[in-house]
Amino acid sequence: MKLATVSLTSCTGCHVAMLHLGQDFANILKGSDVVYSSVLADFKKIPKCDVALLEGAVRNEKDVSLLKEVRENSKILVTIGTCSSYGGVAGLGNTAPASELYETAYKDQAKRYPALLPRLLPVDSFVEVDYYVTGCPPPPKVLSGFFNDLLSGKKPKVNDLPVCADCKRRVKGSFARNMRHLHQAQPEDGVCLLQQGYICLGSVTRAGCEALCPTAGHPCNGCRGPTHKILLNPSHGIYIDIVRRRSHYLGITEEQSRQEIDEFTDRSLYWFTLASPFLRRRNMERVSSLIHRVNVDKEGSE
Amino acid sequence: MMPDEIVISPVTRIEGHAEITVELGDDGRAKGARFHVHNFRGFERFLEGMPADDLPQLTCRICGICYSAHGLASVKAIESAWGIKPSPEARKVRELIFFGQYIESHALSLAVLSLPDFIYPGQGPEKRNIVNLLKTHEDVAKKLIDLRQSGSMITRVVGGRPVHPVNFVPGGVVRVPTPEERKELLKGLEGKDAVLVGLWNILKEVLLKNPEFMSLGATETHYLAMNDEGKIAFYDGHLSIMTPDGKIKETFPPEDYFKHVAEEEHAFSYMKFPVLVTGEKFRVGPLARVNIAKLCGTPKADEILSEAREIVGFPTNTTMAYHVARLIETVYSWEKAVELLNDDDVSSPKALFAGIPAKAGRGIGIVEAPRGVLVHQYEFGDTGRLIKANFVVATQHNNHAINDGLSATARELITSPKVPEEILNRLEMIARAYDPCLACATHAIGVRPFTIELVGPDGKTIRRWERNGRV
Repeated sequence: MKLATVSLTSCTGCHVAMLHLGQDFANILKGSDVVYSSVLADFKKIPKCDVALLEGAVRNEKDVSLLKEVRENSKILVTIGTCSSYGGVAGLGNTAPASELYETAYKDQAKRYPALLPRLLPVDSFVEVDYYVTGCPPPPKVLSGFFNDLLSGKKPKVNDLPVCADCKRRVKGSFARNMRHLHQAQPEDGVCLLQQGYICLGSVTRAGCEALCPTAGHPCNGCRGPTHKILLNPSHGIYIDIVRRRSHYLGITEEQSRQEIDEFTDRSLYWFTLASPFLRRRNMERVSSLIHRVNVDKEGSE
Repeated sequence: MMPDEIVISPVTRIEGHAEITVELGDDGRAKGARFHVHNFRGFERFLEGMPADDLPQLTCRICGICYSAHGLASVKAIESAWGIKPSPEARKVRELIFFGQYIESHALSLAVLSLPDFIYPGQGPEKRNIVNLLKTHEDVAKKLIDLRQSGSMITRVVGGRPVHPVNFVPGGVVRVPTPEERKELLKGLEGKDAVLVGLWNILKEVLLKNPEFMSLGATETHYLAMNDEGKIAFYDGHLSIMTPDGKIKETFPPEDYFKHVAEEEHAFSYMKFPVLVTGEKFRVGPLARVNIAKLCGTPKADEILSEAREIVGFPTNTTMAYHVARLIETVYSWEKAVELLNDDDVSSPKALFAGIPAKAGRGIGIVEAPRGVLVHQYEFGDTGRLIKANFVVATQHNNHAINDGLSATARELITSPKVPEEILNRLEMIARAYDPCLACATHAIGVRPFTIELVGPDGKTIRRWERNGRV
């Protein structure tokens, strides 16, 4: 198998996550023909390949040209991680015009190369994607499971459960009336974090991570992206499902629940998905009101 | 027509996206070289308004290699803004995560990315990588991959997650490892000291005895590093400035960082150029730390340090000595990780944070990331929402030195526009010595390629080497 690994705008954490597979990844490298990998080898051109593993979002002009080159040359294109699949944390930058991102960081406003696009977008806004392997970065078991299926020619399995399915915490007794930030109080062991008032996205996030964060006592940030249910059903969403869950358990109206969440936090529910055009089109979600409006005609995503 | 520049793009076997451009004179000889960093994401702007407890998690994502360094700098900056201090037990848990980070990050840079340069001198790009090392020296390659893995398991277990760990909360940690987990991690570290000694012996043969490699990227600079009364320190300590001839010029508390360092900007790169306020260029990272420290403070690391002093002569300006310093620090991190894993304090509930309300304030958090001094600076409003963030990232500090070293070597090795691939790789080796972390280095605005460009006297590009294939 001719293998390429490519990064667009990213933190390289998905390559590191693959290296974290240790000997398993070493065996994949040894067993395949690595024809391009800017992190691991010195090939300067992307040749024809069977599989391209792509990390990172599309933030600048160079990302666009590199992405098109990868798509042209690969039989199977896999987005590794949440940046390439949904835009990832850098998608939070869509709350501001690109020029403002730039002005905040640099005093010297001279144009640098390559120019930023008006808005960050995930890979499938530009080219077709064959498989999505999500997570920031994808959990080891998800990665190794995917590679095993791919190498043995099987259709990769989809995990359609939420993180809660793997979480040992349970809803016990009454729901906390007020929301709280993690630093305000040490969470109680064994009890659902959403119930304790933390914004835990476990119930709206795709499983596969063995619920590592809530198990460690940290609310789920939603790094694997929305559950299958949310993806397939337009009447669901990340924000609206959390709103409804609180409204149901607390016996308050949906409107009241919305107000409370809006007051408590704005972008915290969309760390990883703010740039995803697919959530933006859902009226019940809040994404649309958070992002800075720009014309992105050629992608047709506005 | 004579080409006027050579571009190497993308620079490979580094973290992030960059290009090198080499400028050529009328005679076709290199006049100088520049390091261009291309990705920018804009963290400073989009973090504004975020609640404080989101910051350690979000800033981890500035870098997929030194996530724990960002998490720790972030949580220290919040604690500095709110005037709280974690317990000694919490500090130990954080340091343990950090030593795990050092083992994985240094092993990645040294063994996975750079070692193939030294093992396969003069061989083509298809040979010069870890994949080939797995084929020709499987036993060595697998041991090195296991070494990396032993550090990343510490991140996984103590940090709570394999990449972008979650165990950073203002005031302490959210979870402590159980004694059983510590035992398991100790088992993972077993024998890795011998692997490191083996790697040191390999480096002595393939790098230190190769004067062509050791002279790459030569430049004389000042040095800036954290230390604890002359001993290496990663998590906390004083900052010291050393002159190129090895004298400590000044030592000051980390809060005074901005009294000593200023930033320059140049439009050819998204990466800024810090200098000392007195005007001198300086370097950070393993070489700076080992130069400034008199001792590591652990026996095995100090043994290699004293041997390395004989051969390389710390303090030294030799750029390739970064790799030697990196090895010494990995040994030190291994010893400290073993020490902490045997310490019951690490499993003590006293390490857990106590709930604290958010408040307004300004704070600065400084740690030594594997690549050097890392600064997070925050300002919070009354509700604990972020008003302003500023980052100065390790690799930025080395920006001047990378550019100067590339120029010096390009002038020495490039005498005509027809340059063999191997010589261009020498330029990339200079960048790799610094282990540049470019996702971090663009102030998180999202850097892209690292290209090498050969530029002619009229400023026109003669040749570009690019990672994405434009030649």
